[in-house]
Amino acid sequence: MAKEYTAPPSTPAIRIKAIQTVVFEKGLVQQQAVDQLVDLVENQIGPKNGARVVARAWTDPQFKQRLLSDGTAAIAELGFQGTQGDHMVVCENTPTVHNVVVCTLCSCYPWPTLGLPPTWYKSSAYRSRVVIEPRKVLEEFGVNVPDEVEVRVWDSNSEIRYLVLPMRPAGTEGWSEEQLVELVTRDSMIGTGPLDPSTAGAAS
Amino acid sequence: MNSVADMGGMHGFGPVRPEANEPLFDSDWERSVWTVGMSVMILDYWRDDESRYSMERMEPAHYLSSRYYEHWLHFLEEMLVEKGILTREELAIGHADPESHGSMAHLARTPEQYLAKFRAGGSIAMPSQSPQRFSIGDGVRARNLNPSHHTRLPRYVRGRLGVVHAVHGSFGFADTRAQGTGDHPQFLYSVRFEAAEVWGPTADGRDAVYIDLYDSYLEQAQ
Repeated sequence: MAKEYTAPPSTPAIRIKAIQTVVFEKGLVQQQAVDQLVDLVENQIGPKNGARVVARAWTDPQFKQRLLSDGTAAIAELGFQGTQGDHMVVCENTPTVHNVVVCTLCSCYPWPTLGLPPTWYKSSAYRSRVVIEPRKVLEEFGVNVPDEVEVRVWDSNSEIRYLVLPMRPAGTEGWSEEQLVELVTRDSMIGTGPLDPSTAGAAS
Repeated sequence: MNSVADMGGMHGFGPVRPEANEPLFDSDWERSVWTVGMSVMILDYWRDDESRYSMERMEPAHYLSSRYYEHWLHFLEEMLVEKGILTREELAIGHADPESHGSMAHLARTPEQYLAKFRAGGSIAMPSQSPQRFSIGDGVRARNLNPSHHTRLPRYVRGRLGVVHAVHGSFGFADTRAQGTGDHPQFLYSVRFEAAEVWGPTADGRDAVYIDLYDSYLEQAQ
Protein backbone atom coordinates (compact mmCIF):
# COMPACT_ATOMS: atom_id res chain seq x y z
CA MET A 1 0.00 0.00 0.00
CA ALA A 2 1.49 3.31 -1.01
CA LYS A 3 2.25 5.57 1.86
CA GLU A 4 0.70 9.00 1.59
CA TYR A 5 3.34 11.44 0.43
CA THR A 6 3.54 14.70 2.31
CA ALA A 7 5.07 17.46 0.27
CA PRO A 8 7.55 19.63 2.15
CA PRO A 9 6.24 23.08 3.06
CA SER A 10 6.83 25.67 0.46
CA THR A 11 9.33 28.30 1.37
CA PRO A 12 8.39 31.94 0.91
CA ALA A 13 10.83 32.18 -1.99
CA ILE A 14 9.10 29.34 -3.77
CA ARG A 15 5.69 30.83 -3.08
CA ILE A 16 6.47 34.25 -4.53
CA LYS A 17 8.24 32.67 -7.48
CA ALA A 18 5.06 30.74 -8.20
CA ILE A 19 2.91 33.88 -8.06
CA GLN A 20 5.34 35.77 -10.28
CA THR A 21 5.57 32.98 -12.84
CA VAL A 22 1.83 32.51 -13.06
CA VAL A 23 0.94 36.21 -13.44
CA PHE A 24 3.73 36.61 -16.00
CA GLU A 25 2.55 33.56 -17.97
CA LYS A 26 -1.01 34.87 -17.99
CA GLY A 27 0.31 38.16 -19.35
CA LEU A 28 -1.21 40.18 -16.52
CA VAL A 29 2.14 41.61 -15.45
CA GLN A 30 5.28 42.15 -17.50
CA GLN A 31 8.88 42.27 -16.32
CA GLN A 32 9.19 45.98 -17.23
CA ALA A 33 6.36 46.80 -14.85
CA VAL A 34 8.10 44.98 -12.01
CA ASP A 35 11.37 46.71 -12.88
CA GLN A 36 9.57 50.07 -12.70
CA LEU A 37 8.27 49.22 -9.24
CA VAL A 38 11.78 48.25 -8.14
CA ASP A 39 13.02 51.65 -9.30
CA LEU A 40 10.11 53.37 -7.57
CA VAL A 41 10.67 51.71 -4.21
CA GLU A 42 14.46 51.91 -4.27
CA ASN A 43 14.99 55.35 -5.79
CA GLN A 44 11.88 57.48 -5.97
CA ILE A 45 10.25 57.11 -2.57
CA GLY A 46 12.09 57.31 0.69
CA PRO A 47 12.81 59.50 3.74
CA LYS A 48 14.75 62.03 1.66
CA ASN A 49 11.33 63.17 0.42
CA GLY A 50 10.04 63.67 3.94
CA ALA A 51 13.27 65.45 4.86
CA ARG A 52 12.64 67.95 2.05
CA VAL A 53 9.15 68.59 3.40
CA VAL A 54 10.60 69.21 6.87
CA ALA A 55 13.41 71.45 5.64
CA ARG A 56 10.95 73.50 3.60
CA ALA A 57 8.70 73.89 6.65
CA TRP A 58 11.66 75.04 8.73
CA THR A 59 12.65 77.75 6.25
CA ASP A 60 9.26 78.85 4.90
CA PRO A 61 6.73 79.78 7.63
CA GLN A 62 3.84 80.00 5.18
CA PHE A 63 4.57 76.56 3.80
CA LYS A 64 4.67 75.31 7.38
CA GLN A 65 1.21 76.76 8.02
CA ARG A 66 -0.14 75.11 4.88
CA LEU A 67 1.56 71.86 5.88
CA LEU A 68 -0.08 71.85 9.30
CA SER A 69 -3.53 72.81 8.03
CA ASP A 70 -3.61 70.56 4.94
CA GLY A 71 -0.70 68.15 4.87
CA THR A 72 -1.89 66.38 1.74
CA ALA A 73 -1.96 69.54 -0.39
CA ALA A 74 1.29 70.97 0.95
CA ILE A 75 3.19 67.72 0.43
CA ALA A 76 1.75 67.52 -3.09
CA GLU A 77 3.27 70.96 -3.80
CA LEU A 78 6.65 69.21 -3.57
CA GLY A 79 5.46 66.31 -5.74
CA PHE A 80 5.41 63.73 -2.96
CA GLN A 81 1.83 62.58 -3.31
CA GLY A 82 0.90 58.98 -4.01
CA THR A 83 -0.22 55.59 -2.80
CA GLN A 84 -0.30 55.30 0.99
CA GLY A 85 0.07 59.07 1.21
CA ASP A 86 -3.42 59.90 -0.03
CA HIS A 87 -4.37 61.72 3.15
CA MET A 88 -1.53 63.21 5.14
CA VAL A 89 -1.63 64.81 8.58
CA VAL A 90 1.56 66.42 9.84
CA CYS A 91 2.07 66.59 13.61
CA GLU A 92 4.40 69.28 14.86
CA ASN A 93 6.79 68.64 17.73
CA THR A 94 7.03 71.63 20.08
CA PRO A 95 8.75 72.34 23.38
CA THR A 96 5.69 70.87 25.11
CA VAL A 97 4.50 68.16 22.70
CA HIS A 98 6.33 65.14 21.27
CA ASN A 99 4.56 63.06 18.63
CA VAL A 100 5.16 59.43 17.72
CA VAL A 101 3.39 57.35 15.07
CA VAL A 102 2.47 53.67 14.96
CA CYS A 103 0.04 51.30 13.27
CA THR A 104 -0.99 48.89 16.03
CA LEU A 105 -3.19 46.82 13.72
CA CYS A 106 -0.82 46.27 10.83
CA SER A 107 1.91 48.45 9.26
CA CYS A 108 0.31 51.57 7.75
CA TYR A 109 3.01 54.12 6.96
CA PRO A 110 3.34 57.11 4.58
CA TRP A 111 5.19 55.54 1.66
CA PRO A 112 5.66 58.54 -0.65
CA THR A 113 7.38 60.65 2.03
CA LEU A 114 9.15 57.97 4.06
CA GLY A 115 9.44 54.96 1.75
CA LEU A 116 8.74 51.51 3.17
CA PRO A 117 8.69 51.12 6.95
CA PRO A 118 11.64 49.57 8.79
CA THR A 119 11.21 46.09 10.24
CA TRP A 120 11.02 47.44 13.79
CA TYR A 121 7.99 49.59 12.94
CA LYS A 122 6.14 46.47 11.78
CA SER A 123 7.27 44.38 14.74
CA SER A 124 4.95 43.05 17.44
CA ALA A 125 7.16 44.75 20.03
CA TYR A 126 6.70 48.25 18.61
CA ARG A 127 3.05 47.85 17.63
CA SER A 128 2.05 46.56 21.06
CA ARG A 129 4.25 48.71 23.29
CA VAL A 130 4.51 52.25 21.94
CA VAL A 131 0.81 52.90 22.44
CA ILE A 132 0.84 51.81 26.12
CA GLU A 133 4.37 52.79 27.24
CA PRO A 134 5.64 55.34 24.74
CA ARG A 135 8.23 56.91 27.03
CA LYS A 136 9.87 53.55 27.71
CA VAL A 137 9.98 52.74 24.00
CA LEU A 138 11.35 56.20 23.18
CA GLU A 139 14.06 55.74 25.81
CA GLU A 140 15.10 52.55 24.04
CA PHE A 141 15.51 54.70 20.92
CA GLY A 142 17.62 57.17 22.85
CA VAL A 143 14.87 59.78 22.95
CA ASN A 144 14.50 61.14 26.46
CA VAL A 145 11.29 63.09 26.80
CA PRO A 146 11.52 65.90 29.38
CA ASP A 147 9.04 66.15 32.22
CA GLU A 148 7.18 69.11 30.80
CA VAL A 149 6.54 67.42 27.46
CA GLU A 150 3.34 65.57 26.58
CA VAL A 151 3.73 62.50 24.38
CA ARG A 152 1.04 61.96 21.73
CA VAL A 153 0.88 58.55 20.13
CA TRP A 154 -0.90 58.54 16.75
CA ASP A 155 -2.31 55.14 15.80
CA SER A 156 -2.62 55.04 11.99
CA ASN A 157 -5.67 52.80 11.92
CA SER A 158 -7.44 54.52 9.01
CA GLU A 159 -6.41 55.80 5.58
CA ILE A 160 -4.89 58.89 7.19
CA ARG A 161 -1.08 58.75 7.25
CA TYR A 162 0.93 60.66 9.80
CA LEU A 163 4.27 62.45 9.51
CA VAL A 164 6.04 64.07 12.45
CA LEU A 165 7.52 67.53 11.93
CA PRO A 166 10.53 67.55 14.26
CA MET A 167 11.76 70.77 15.86
CA ARG A 168 14.49 72.62 14.04
CA PRO A 169 17.73 72.17 15.96
CA ALA A 170 19.38 75.13 17.60
CA GLY A 171 22.46 76.54 15.92
CA THR A 172 21.13 76.18 12.37
CA GLU A 173 20.13 79.78 11.84
CA GLY A 174 20.89 80.90 8.30
CA TRP A 175 21.33 77.34 7.01
CA SER A 176 20.04 76.64 3.53
CA GLU A 177 17.27 74.14 2.84
CA GLU A 178 19.86 71.78 1.32
CA GLN A 179 21.93 71.85 4.48
CA LEU A 180 18.88 71.33 6.68
CA VAL A 181 17.65 68.33 4.62
CA GLU A 182 20.79 66.46 5.72
CA LEU A 183 19.82 66.86 9.37
CA VAL A 184 16.42 65.21 9.15
CA THR A 185 16.48 61.50 9.98
CA ARG A 186 13.80 58.98 9.07
CA ASP A 187 13.22 58.14 12.70
CA SER A 188 12.64 61.79 13.63
CA MET A 189 9.71 61.85 11.19
CA ILE A 190 8.18 58.80 12.88
CA GLY A 191 8.86 60.30 16.28
CA THR A 192 11.39 57.76 17.51
CA GLY A 193 14.54 59.64 16.67
CA PRO A 194 16.17 62.86 17.61
CA LEU A 195 17.75 64.80 14.82
CA ASP A 196 21.20 63.73 13.83
CA PRO A 197 23.39 66.01 15.92
CA SER A 198 26.60 64.68 14.40
CA THR A 199 26.06 66.61 11.20
CA ALA A 200 25.36 69.89 12.97
CA GLY A 201 28.07 72.32 11.97
CA ALA A 202 29.46 69.89 9.38
CA ALA A 203 27.94 71.82 6.47
CA SER A 204 29.57 75.11 5.58
CA MET B 1 -12.15 40.89 14.55
CA ASN B 2 -10.48 40.24 17.91
CA SER B 3 -7.42 38.90 16.14
CA VAL B 4 -3.81 38.52 17.19
CA ALA B 5 -3.11 41.46 14.86
CA ASP B 6 -5.00 43.74 17.28
CA MET B 7 -2.03 43.97 19.58
CA GLY B 8 -2.00 47.53 20.91
CA GLY B 9 -1.27 47.34 24.64
CA MET B 10 -0.18 43.71 24.75
CA HIS B 11 2.74 42.85 27.03
CA GLY B 12 5.54 40.38 26.57
CA PHE B 13 6.97 41.17 23.15
CA GLY B 14 10.26 42.41 24.49
CA PRO B 15 12.44 45.30 23.40
CA VAL B 16 12.06 47.02 20.05
CA ARG B 17 15.17 46.09 18.05
CA PRO B 18 16.04 48.63 15.36
CA GLU B 19 18.73 47.45 12.97
CA ALA B 20 21.27 50.08 12.04
CA ASN B 21 21.44 50.72 8.29
CA GLU B 22 18.82 48.11 7.62
CA PRO B 23 18.50 47.35 3.89
CA LEU B 24 15.19 48.10 2.21
CA PHE B 25 14.63 44.37 1.80
CA ASP B 26 16.35 41.60 3.76
CA SER B 27 16.28 39.18 0.85
CA ASP B 28 15.41 38.87 -2.81
CA TRP B 29 12.20 37.03 -2.07
CA GLU B 30 10.98 39.90 0.13
CA ARG B 31 11.72 42.41 -2.64
CA SER B 32 9.76 40.20 -5.01
CA VAL B 33 6.82 39.99 -2.62
CA TRP B 34 6.55 43.78 -2.53
CA THR B 35 7.17 44.42 -6.22
CA VAL B 36 5.15 41.51 -7.64
CA GLY B 37 2.50 42.02 -4.98
CA MET B 38 2.21 45.69 -5.82
CA SER B 39 2.16 44.90 -9.55
CA VAL B 40 -1.17 43.19 -9.00
CA MET B 41 -2.48 45.31 -6.11
CA ILE B 42 -2.02 48.58 -7.99
CA LEU B 43 -4.47 47.21 -10.56
CA ASP B 44 -7.23 47.35 -7.93
CA TYR B 45 -8.49 43.80 -8.04
CA TRP B 46 -9.21 44.03 -4.34
CA ARG B 47 -9.26 46.59 -1.55
CA ASP B 48 -6.56 47.10 1.07
CA ASP B 49 -9.29 46.36 3.64
CA GLU B 50 -9.63 42.86 2.20
CA SER B 51 -5.87 42.31 2.39
CA ARG B 52 -5.82 43.39 6.01
CA TYR B 53 -8.77 41.16 6.90
CA SER B 54 -7.00 38.26 5.22
CA MET B 55 -3.83 38.78 7.28
CA GLU B 56 -5.86 38.99 10.48
CA ARG B 57 -7.21 35.52 9.78
CA MET B 58 -3.79 33.90 9.58
CA GLU B 59 -3.26 31.18 12.15
CA PRO B 60 -2.31 33.30 15.19
CA ALA B 61 0.92 31.50 16.12
CA HIS B 62 2.05 31.66 12.49
CA TYR B 63 1.19 35.36 12.29
CA LEU B 64 3.40 36.06 15.28
CA SER B 65 6.31 33.81 14.29
CA SER B 66 6.54 34.52 10.57
CA ARG B 67 8.37 37.29 8.79
CA TYR B 68 6.32 40.34 7.79
CA TYR B 69 6.32 39.58 4.07
CA GLU B 70 4.94 36.11 4.79
CA HIS B 71 1.81 38.01 5.89
CA TRP B 72 1.75 39.51 2.41
CA LEU B 73 2.18 36.07 0.84
CA HIS B 74 -0.82 34.87 2.82
CA PHE B 75 -3.13 37.58 1.52
CA LEU B 76 -1.68 37.57 -1.98
CA GLU B 77 -2.38 33.87 -2.39
CA GLU B 78 -5.84 34.21 -0.86
CA MET B 79 -6.85 37.28 -2.86
CA LEU B 80 -5.42 36.11 -6.17
CA VAL B 81 -7.44 32.90 -5.89
CA GLU B 82 -10.58 34.56 -4.53
CA LYS B 83 -10.62 37.16 -7.31
CA GLY B 84 -10.15 34.48 -9.96
CA ILE B 85 -6.77 35.64 -11.19
CA LEU B 86 -5.20 32.25 -10.59
CA THR B 87 -6.00 28.93 -8.95
CA ARG B 88 -4.58 27.00 -6.01
CA GLU B 89 -3.47 24.34 -8.48
CA GLU B 90 -1.50 26.89 -10.48
CA LEU B 91 0.16 28.14 -7.30
CA ALA B 92 1.05 24.60 -6.29
CA ILE B 93 2.52 23.75 -9.68
CA GLY B 94 4.16 27.18 -10.04
CA HIS B 95 2.89 27.64 -13.60
CA ALA B 96 -0.23 28.94 -15.26
CA ASP B 97 -2.61 26.46 -16.82
CA PRO B 98 -1.29 26.28 -20.40
CA GLU B 99 -4.76 27.13 -21.72
CA SER B 100 -4.59 30.45 -19.84
CA HIS B 101 -1.23 31.60 -21.12
CA GLY B 102 -1.55 35.18 -22.30
CA SER B 103 -5.24 35.24 -21.38
CA MET B 104 -4.87 38.38 -19.25
CA ALA B 105 -2.45 40.22 -21.51
CA HIS B 106 -5.14 42.73 -22.48
CA LEU B 107 -5.26 43.82 -18.82
CA ALA B 108 -1.53 44.46 -18.53
CA ARG B 109 -0.35 47.99 -17.86
CA THR B 110 2.83 49.73 -18.98
CA PRO B 111 5.50 50.94 -16.57
CA GLU B 112 4.32 54.52 -17.19
CA GLN B 113 0.79 53.58 -16.27
CA TYR B 114 2.05 51.96 -13.09
CA LEU B 115 3.91 55.13 -12.13
CA ALA B 116 0.89 57.25 -12.90
CA LYS B 117 -1.31 55.01 -10.81
CA PHE B 118 1.11 55.15 -7.90
CA ARG B 119 1.15 58.94 -8.03
CA ALA B 120 -2.64 59.14 -8.33
CA GLY B 121 -2.95 57.00 -5.20
CA GLY B 122 -5.98 55.12 -3.97
CA SER B 123 -8.03 57.49 -1.86
CA ILE B 124 -11.25 56.08 -0.46
CA ALA B 125 -12.58 59.47 0.58
CA MET B 126 -16.14 59.68 -0.73
CA PRO B 127 -19.35 61.57 0.10
CA SER B 128 -21.62 60.09 2.72
CA GLN B 129 -25.37 59.89 3.08
CA SER B 130 -24.93 59.36 6.81
CA PRO B 131 -24.78 62.49 8.94
CA GLN B 132 -21.74 63.89 10.67
CA ARG B 133 -22.86 63.27 14.24
CA PHE B 134 -19.87 64.80 16.02
CA SER B 135 -17.82 67.98 15.94
CA ILE B 136 -14.44 69.06 17.25
CA GLY B 137 -14.48 69.21 21.04
CA ASP B 138 -17.33 66.74 21.49
CA GLY B 139 -16.94 64.13 24.20
CA VAL B 140 -17.40 60.67 22.71
CA ARG B 141 -17.22 57.09 23.88
CA ALA B 142 -15.80 54.37 21.67
CA ARG B 143 -18.46 51.69 21.56
CA ASN B 144 -17.85 48.22 22.91
CA LEU B 145 -18.13 46.43 19.59
CA ASN B 146 -16.61 42.98 19.15
CA PRO B 147 -17.44 41.94 15.60
CA SER B 148 -15.88 38.77 14.24
CA HIS B 149 -15.37 40.58 10.93
CA HIS B 150 -12.72 43.14 10.08
CA THR B 151 -12.89 46.38 12.00
CA ARG B 152 -10.49 49.23 12.64
CA LEU B 153 -11.71 49.77 16.21
CA PRO B 154 -8.97 48.18 18.31
CA ARG B 155 -9.75 46.51 21.63
CA TYR B 156 -7.71 48.99 23.64
CA VAL B 157 -10.10 51.93 23.08
CA ARG B 158 -13.45 50.16 23.25
CA GLY B 159 -15.62 51.67 25.96
CA ARG B 160 -13.20 54.54 26.56
CA LEU B 161 -14.05 58.25 26.71
CA GLY B 162 -12.31 60.64 24.37
CA VAL B 163 -12.63 64.04 22.74
CA VAL B 164 -12.98 64.71 19.03
CA HIS B 165 -9.77 66.41 17.90
CA ALA B 166 -10.47 66.67 14.16
CA VAL B 167 -13.02 65.71 11.52
CA HIS B 168 -11.30 64.01 8.59
CA GLY B 169 -14.30 63.97 6.29
CA SER B 170 -16.11 60.91 4.98
CA PHE B 171 -14.47 57.70 3.84
CA GLY B 172 -15.45 54.25 2.66
CA PHE B 173 -16.15 52.10 5.72
CA ALA B 174 -13.38 49.57 6.35
CA ASP B 175 -15.64 46.99 8.01
CA THR B 176 -17.94 46.57 5.00
CA ARG B 177 -15.26 47.11 2.35
CA ALA B 178 -13.29 44.23 3.84
CA GLN B 179 -16.26 41.89 3.49
CA GLY B 180 -17.15 43.04 0.00
CA THR B 181 -20.53 44.34 1.20
CA GLY B 182 -20.12 47.87 -0.06
CA ASP B 183 -18.44 51.19 0.70
CA HIS B 184 -21.08 52.61 3.07
CA PRO B 185 -19.08 55.80 3.59
CA GLN B 186 -19.30 57.60 6.88
CA PHE B 187 -17.52 60.36 8.71
CA LEU B 188 -14.14 59.68 10.24
CA TYR B 189 -12.83 61.50 13.30
CA SER B 190 -9.49 61.88 15.01
CA VAL B 191 -10.23 61.24 18.68
CA ARG B 192 -7.92 62.00 21.59
CA PHE B 193 -7.89 59.62 24.56
CA GLU B 194 -5.95 60.46 27.72
CA ALA B 195 -3.46 57.69 28.50
CA ALA B 196 -4.87 57.21 32.00
CA GLU B 197 -8.36 56.74 30.57
CA VAL B 198 -7.15 54.01 28.22
CA TRP B 199 -4.60 52.23 30.40
CA GLY B 200 -5.50 53.07 33.99
CA PRO B 201 -3.42 54.42 36.86
CA THR B 202 -0.07 53.01 35.68
CA ALA B 203 -0.18 55.17 32.57
CA ASP B 204 1.76 58.41 32.32
CA GLY B 205 -0.84 61.07 33.06
CA ARG B 206 0.76 63.55 30.70
CA ASP B 207 0.29 61.45 27.59
CA ALA B 208 -2.47 60.74 25.08
CA VAL B 209 -3.38 58.41 22.23
CA TYR B 210 -4.93 59.77 19.04
CA ILE B 211 -6.82 57.35 16.86
CA ASP B 212 -9.10 57.64 13.83
CA LEU B 213 -12.61 56.35 14.48
CA TYR B 214 -15.59 56.06 12.17
CA ASP B 215 -18.90 57.65 13.17
CA SER B 216 -20.49 54.26 13.84
CA TYR B 217 -17.71 53.31 16.26
CA LEU B 218 -18.72 56.23 18.50
CA GLU B 219 -21.53 57.27 20.79
CA GLN B 220 -22.08 60.51 22.59
CA ALA B 221 -20.34 60.66 25.96
CA GLN B 222 -22.89 60.88 28.75
